[in-house]
Amino acid sequence: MPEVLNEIDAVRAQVQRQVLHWTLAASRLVLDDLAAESAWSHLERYLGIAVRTHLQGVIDRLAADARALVAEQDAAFSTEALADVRRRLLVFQQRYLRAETTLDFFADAINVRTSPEVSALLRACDTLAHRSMATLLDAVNKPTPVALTYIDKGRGASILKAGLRLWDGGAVCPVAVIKVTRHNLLRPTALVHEAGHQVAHITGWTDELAAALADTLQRGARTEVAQAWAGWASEIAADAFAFASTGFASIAALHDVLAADPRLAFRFIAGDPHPINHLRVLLGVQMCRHAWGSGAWDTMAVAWQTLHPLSMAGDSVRALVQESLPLLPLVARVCLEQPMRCFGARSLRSVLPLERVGPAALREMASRLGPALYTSAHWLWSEPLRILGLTGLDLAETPRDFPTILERQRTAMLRLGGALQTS
Amino acid sequence: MTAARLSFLNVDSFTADEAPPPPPVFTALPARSPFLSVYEADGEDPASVPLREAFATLVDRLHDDEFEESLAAVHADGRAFHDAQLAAGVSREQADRRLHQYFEPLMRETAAMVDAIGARFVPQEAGGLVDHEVQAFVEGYTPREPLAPAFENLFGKLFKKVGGLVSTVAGKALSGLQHLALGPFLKLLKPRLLGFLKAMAARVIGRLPAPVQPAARLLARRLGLPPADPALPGAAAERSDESADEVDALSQQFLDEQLAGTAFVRDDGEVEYESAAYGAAATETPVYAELEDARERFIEALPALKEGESPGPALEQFLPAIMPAMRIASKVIGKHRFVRVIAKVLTPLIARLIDPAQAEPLARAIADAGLSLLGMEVPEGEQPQLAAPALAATVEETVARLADLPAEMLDNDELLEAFTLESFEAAAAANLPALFSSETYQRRPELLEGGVEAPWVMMPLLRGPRRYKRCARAFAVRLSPYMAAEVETFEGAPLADFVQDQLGVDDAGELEAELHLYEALPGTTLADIARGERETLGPGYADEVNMEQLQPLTRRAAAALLGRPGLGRYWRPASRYRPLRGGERFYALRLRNAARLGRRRRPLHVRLVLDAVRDEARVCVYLSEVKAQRLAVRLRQQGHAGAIAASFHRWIAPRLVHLLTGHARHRLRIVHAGMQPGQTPAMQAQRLAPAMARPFAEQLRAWLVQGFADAMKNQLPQIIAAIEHPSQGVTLRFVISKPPGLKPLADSAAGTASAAAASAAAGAAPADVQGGAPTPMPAPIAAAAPATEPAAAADAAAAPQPAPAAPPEAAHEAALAPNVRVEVSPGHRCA
Repeated sequence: MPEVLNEIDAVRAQVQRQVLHWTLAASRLVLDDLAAESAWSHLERYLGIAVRTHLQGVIDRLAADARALVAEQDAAFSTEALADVRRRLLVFQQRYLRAETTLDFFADAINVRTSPEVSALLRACDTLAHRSMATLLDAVNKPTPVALTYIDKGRGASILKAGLRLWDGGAVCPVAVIKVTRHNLLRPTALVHEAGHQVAHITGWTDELAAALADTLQRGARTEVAQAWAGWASEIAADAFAFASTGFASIAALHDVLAADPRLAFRFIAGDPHPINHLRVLLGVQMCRHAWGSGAWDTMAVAWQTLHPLSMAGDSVRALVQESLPLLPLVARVCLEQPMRCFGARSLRSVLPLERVGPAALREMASRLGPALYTSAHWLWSEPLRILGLTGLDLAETPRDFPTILERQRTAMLRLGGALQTS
Repeated sequence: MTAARLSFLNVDSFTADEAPPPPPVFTALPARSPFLSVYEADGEDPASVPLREAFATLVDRLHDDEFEESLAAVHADGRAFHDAQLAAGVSREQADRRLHQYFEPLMRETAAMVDAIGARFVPQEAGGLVDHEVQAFVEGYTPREPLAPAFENLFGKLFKKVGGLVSTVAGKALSGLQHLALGPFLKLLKPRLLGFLKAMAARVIGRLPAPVQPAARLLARRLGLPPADPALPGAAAERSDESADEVDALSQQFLDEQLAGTAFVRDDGEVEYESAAYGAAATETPVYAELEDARERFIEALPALKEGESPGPALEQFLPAIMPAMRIASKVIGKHRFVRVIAKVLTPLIARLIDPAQAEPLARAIADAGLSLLGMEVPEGEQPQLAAPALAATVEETVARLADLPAEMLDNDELLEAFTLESFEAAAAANLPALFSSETYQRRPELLEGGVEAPWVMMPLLRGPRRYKRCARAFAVRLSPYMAAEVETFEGAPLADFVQDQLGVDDAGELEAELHLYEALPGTTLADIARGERETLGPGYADEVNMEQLQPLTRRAAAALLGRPGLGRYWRPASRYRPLRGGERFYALRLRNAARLGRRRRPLHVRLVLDAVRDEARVCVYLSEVKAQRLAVRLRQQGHAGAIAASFHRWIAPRLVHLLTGHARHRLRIVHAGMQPGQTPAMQAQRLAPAMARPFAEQLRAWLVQGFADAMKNQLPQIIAAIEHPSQGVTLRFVISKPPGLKPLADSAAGTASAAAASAAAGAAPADVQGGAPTPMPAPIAAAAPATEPAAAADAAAAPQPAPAAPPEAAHEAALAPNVRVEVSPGHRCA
């Protein structure tokens, strides 16, 4: 029969056990246990270092908290002191769980690199995301964060932006973590859209675009309509960025994702940053027309409107859509042509020339560079976004060749990701 | 089993089954080579010419253009491992021991590989090996234990060499020549391979490789060559340590010669003699390790001096360790006298600078000189530690400057004192921050190096083995296309090629860049600098990728890029993978907004083999991926054939001149039966008669451009296919048969030039053609001749000069255009 202690000692023993439980749990958080060595090795070195440094910081901060907690517990011999330790223990538990959430998130993102092929495709996605951001951010003298992409289920991509504090509440995350959906892994224009969110965050583009849309549209439309468009600025900016980076490919891919569920074509949720799908697709078409005149996008628009007649929309949404349709050319111009302070008083088009990703330019590139475009390390490195734009264009224009074109993009990405080594 | 077989099986560890009698060994030599009269020189055995031809050809076959890279990667890994031990406070002895343990797996696997070859092929030898059987074995072999990537790569290269040798020895290539059977041959081969790896480990821990001349002499004797001409650069290396770092046990040429030489050992007696001689080889001396230790002792001793205590004793202990590393030891008569005189001059100067009244401002001035701008903040409490390393660097550089003086001047105490003072001032100008008033610098501008206040600090700043210096200031530059085309880098390649081929920047406009400057300490490598500068050069990138950013900061480069020639230094052209003597400066160009590929990109390069045995020149032109793709674009657009050939000409012209007379001599190989072993390719090329080399380079240029133009017409599909292949870049291999002028040129390098050729080599026309018809060789084209230091020869090529006279037979031959064959392969295939 154990000796019965006095009340303080009894409480102290219970607290001590809990403190040891949680602090030892914290000490078992080791980076190499989170993800297999092989998974870490599938990251490019620069990316691996950035991620490891950040996560080690999370672990180190927790370890420092643990040491402080143990020290406090060791010195606690009074009821009041023990109460303080228990409060601090609760805080520590919360921190532990938050740190664990951060670590698990990255562990999941890294551990999806299970095979050489998937790893190479994701390395290619990392490069595509980084290069798309760097093209614009370099031009406005802003540093470009590294990008870590991972595959997950679902219909749409998403981003955990660099420069934000994560669940652990510690240092800001230096890495943009982008989810790519499995079905779109070989058509990853959506990750360029997500990279656009990061660019907008760094430059402050969203707010400026929202103000520009509100200001411009309310001159010819109801304030509610203008405000609705202003509220969609973050997604419109990301769409415009993907469009300026990869051309029609981004619009076609967006169309295919949004067309999957016709019931959602006219869904409107107040406060949702996503524009009504119907308007979003047609805005993309309008951007194409604005940049290059008529083209394959016209056919796409006809099909979309045929399959998604306005009659499908509820009354209130129909009014908003009907009022918005004539505004699309204006919205496209604001997005692409209006000089922005955040871009050094330049327009998106002057920073990312649309002519480079137009069908004519992409076809000219393919004819000039020949098959080497998809095999040469030089072209894959110099033109990864335009190659993505070209295969996306081909997929949109000649869907019967879908498997062949997709295989071309897969091979190109494998080479870009280093799976098919060049000698 | 025959008696003939028994003689070597007795000394071999491999067993052989009963086998049919081997084919008879031809002891009688075949008919004399038609080149015999050319090769003969005083004291050599003319009967041995076929043997030497076979030897030279075998050495050439063993050459691997990527071997040096593999070796450098192993060196870099080993150095990183060793430095980490030392930085962690492990004693040098223990760190050395751990390093040897680190190398153990590679040594074990190499030995096992030789054993495996023996076990597989010795029993089959008598029956003869089927073609490619050895190659298939080499390709299918995997080490028993997994090796680190760098080890595995080097292991593969060594295995390839051994496989090539075994194919030759057991095959038909040496038929008619007396050579060893496979068993004894492998027995000789193994210690050489292991000795090579041992020397590699020794270099990592700061030892200077043993001299190669005894082994080279032994080999020369066996090949029937006369004693080396004392004028040979290789021979000079033994007399003085002037160029000791150029010819050592770790040069590929020496390894290949030693490996190939084992095939020509003839009998048991020679096997035993060779084994004994090899075992008695001199060991490596810890020149760099001792310098590092002495430097650290000096750095620790200075702050510990009491007020008024002289730094003389510390200095007198430091100086003797500097001398061997600066290759000054053998230059001076009386080492003690030399140390005493220098210490006498330096002691009061150092004493003044370490005086507490001076040391603190000195350390503060170093800390304030821009370290924080480069992210090298030093905690205030540790700032006083900055003064002693700066003074150690000043003392080292003082001695290094003295090492450049002629020996006679060093023997005179008065002159030595005066030059020591002058050298100290120059060294202080580079290593110490500005300590004087602006009036003083106006009066004596030489006290501020390059006219800019930019002190150099030894890195790492506070702890760990110091490997290099870094300029405490970065320079912003605007790099115009003209500057990029003008500044030359390794092998005479323009900086523009680095920007385009390796950074992938295609823009033709001006680029904004930041220049970071570094200086080598004795025995360091560019990989050491890259490792120490990861944060600046590219965090997260492999050191071998970052290393490629470092370019030589010659005076011309410093003048063009910075407008301050004084910041540049003399640079002895060599491969970027070689350990450095110390004092050479390099710069890293960091372009703003340039995306970098994290993997290595091979730049355009040219390799040349002058094969006097086959009477052919082989030129390998590797077109980088960027250049190859640009070429493909022009070909698809059906660009003007002449314009395309002109581009090719622009790529190769400056490089050819550098191959024969300038920065890239180490990339030229000469296959010649009269060549003395124990010389690096650069040494061999150095002996090429300039008056023949320059015209030959001109002719070669014309043949190559014509060959390229023909290939564009006749081999276009193959060229396009090679470019479209996923491999990076394209290799164009030109084989020029019987090129006029090759043989006399190669003879001049081997020291077997005929009288007429010797006259031409001396720059004078032979008596019978003086005043005769002008030479049919084209005059040097100034535009193609690069004018960069230190290639005085290349400078001379650019200057107007009389057309060199050629011997009459050469004049006749020149009229005949040689046959040029072009082979196209995807990727890097330079052998």
